[in-house]
Amino acid sequence: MIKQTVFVLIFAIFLFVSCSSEPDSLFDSDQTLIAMEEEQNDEIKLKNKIIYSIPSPNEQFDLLYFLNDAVKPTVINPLSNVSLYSTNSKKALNFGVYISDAAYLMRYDQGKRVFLDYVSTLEKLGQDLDITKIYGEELVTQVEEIGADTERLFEISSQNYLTIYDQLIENNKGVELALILGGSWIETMHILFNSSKQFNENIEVQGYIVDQRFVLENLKGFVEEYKNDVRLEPLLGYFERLGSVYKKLECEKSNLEIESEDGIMILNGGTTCTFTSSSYKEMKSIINQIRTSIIS
Amino acid sequence: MIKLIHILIISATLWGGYLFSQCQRPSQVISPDYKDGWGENSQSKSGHLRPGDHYEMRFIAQAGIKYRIKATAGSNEFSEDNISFQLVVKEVNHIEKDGKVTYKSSEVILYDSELAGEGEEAIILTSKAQSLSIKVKIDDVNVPAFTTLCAIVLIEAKKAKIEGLK
Repeated sequence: MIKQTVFVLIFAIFLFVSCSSEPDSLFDSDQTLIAMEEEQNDEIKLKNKIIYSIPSPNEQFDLLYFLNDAVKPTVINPLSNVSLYSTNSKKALNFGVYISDAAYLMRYDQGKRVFLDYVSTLEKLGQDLDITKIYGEELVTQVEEIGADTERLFEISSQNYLTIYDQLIENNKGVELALILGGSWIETMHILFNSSKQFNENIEVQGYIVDQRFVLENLKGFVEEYKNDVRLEPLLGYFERLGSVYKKLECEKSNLEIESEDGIMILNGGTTCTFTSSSYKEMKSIINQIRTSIIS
Repeated sequence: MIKLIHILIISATLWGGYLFSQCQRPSQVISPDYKDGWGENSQSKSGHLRPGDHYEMRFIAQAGIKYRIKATAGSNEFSEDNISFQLVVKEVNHIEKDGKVTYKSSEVILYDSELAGEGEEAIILTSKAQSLSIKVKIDDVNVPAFTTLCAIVLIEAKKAKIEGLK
């Protein structure tokens, strides 16, 4: 009995003090690098608790909209596919896929009827993931009342994402959240590649896909906090595959320049990376494969 | 005695869960300046920290977007004096010496709330997407030890005029 109590006590203490460690960097791509010296500033020596922030799909599509205003509603995962998802992992991954699709369609003003279809599907899918009280009648009424204000609709979908994030963290559903974020990001990448089309056809969107390496790095850091759960093994495998393609980017380094103007710090320079034709095609193909395995 | 330990563990666990669930969303504590075109960025965070705790929050700054970072901490009443933060970027410099190419990685502090002058804000704009860190610390001089405070890091964002960038 005493042993059991001691075990419970140690376990409880572990729960309270457990910290996340820094994941291996995705980008040890400096092939010309001979030596790397690390300098930590002495002002704040961390106990190494690192928290990874990941931009919401709404934020991602807000930027895509700025770069490319053409919408392709056919690229999304049809809502009718929801009946295919029976396991907890599939439900969580596709919850993320649908959240991204909804954010994409709302950014491109596809209307409240479309949004309400997503509300209905996400409500059903969310029940098994402990996501409750978000997609209820109150939200439906709120959406009905806003009329044709598409900007407000986009704000509501953005707010929903944040509420879901908070609720899952509060309910200790970190694994489900990791799957949702993973599914959401893969779908975002799928939509970005569809907007970017062929290699060098839309340079700006292509550049935005290159920038997604930072999102992948933070996402990997977040998911690794729960890596002992076997449900996350496939997702971490996907990240490894995608990370290995990002290592093939052609990167040109220049020193970072920092200037201050009207109280704003402006960062210029730094590393510029671009796809080669083959790395672009490889990345697009892997995203297609992963996305197909998630939604089917 | 064993029962007492069990009760203490269960109480502590429930109390911890209660505390965590009571930490508000950043925009519920610090109102984003909507009038001036700012909006809450989805990468804002809140959570419970103890005095002396150090946290590093990694977020992604997209090119051409202005970000403003604000932090506060408290339980019922919030104060910027309870928390300090630094905005940091990792810089990799290219050095050539004796025919050898070396990259030296160092952290550059872009903003330090403890050193900032009156009215000086943490506003940043990048010409390329960057991974930035916000290093957060709860004051361990004025906040009593073993107190847990709700720490808020609000990231506001708004689109910038591109012509100012190189």
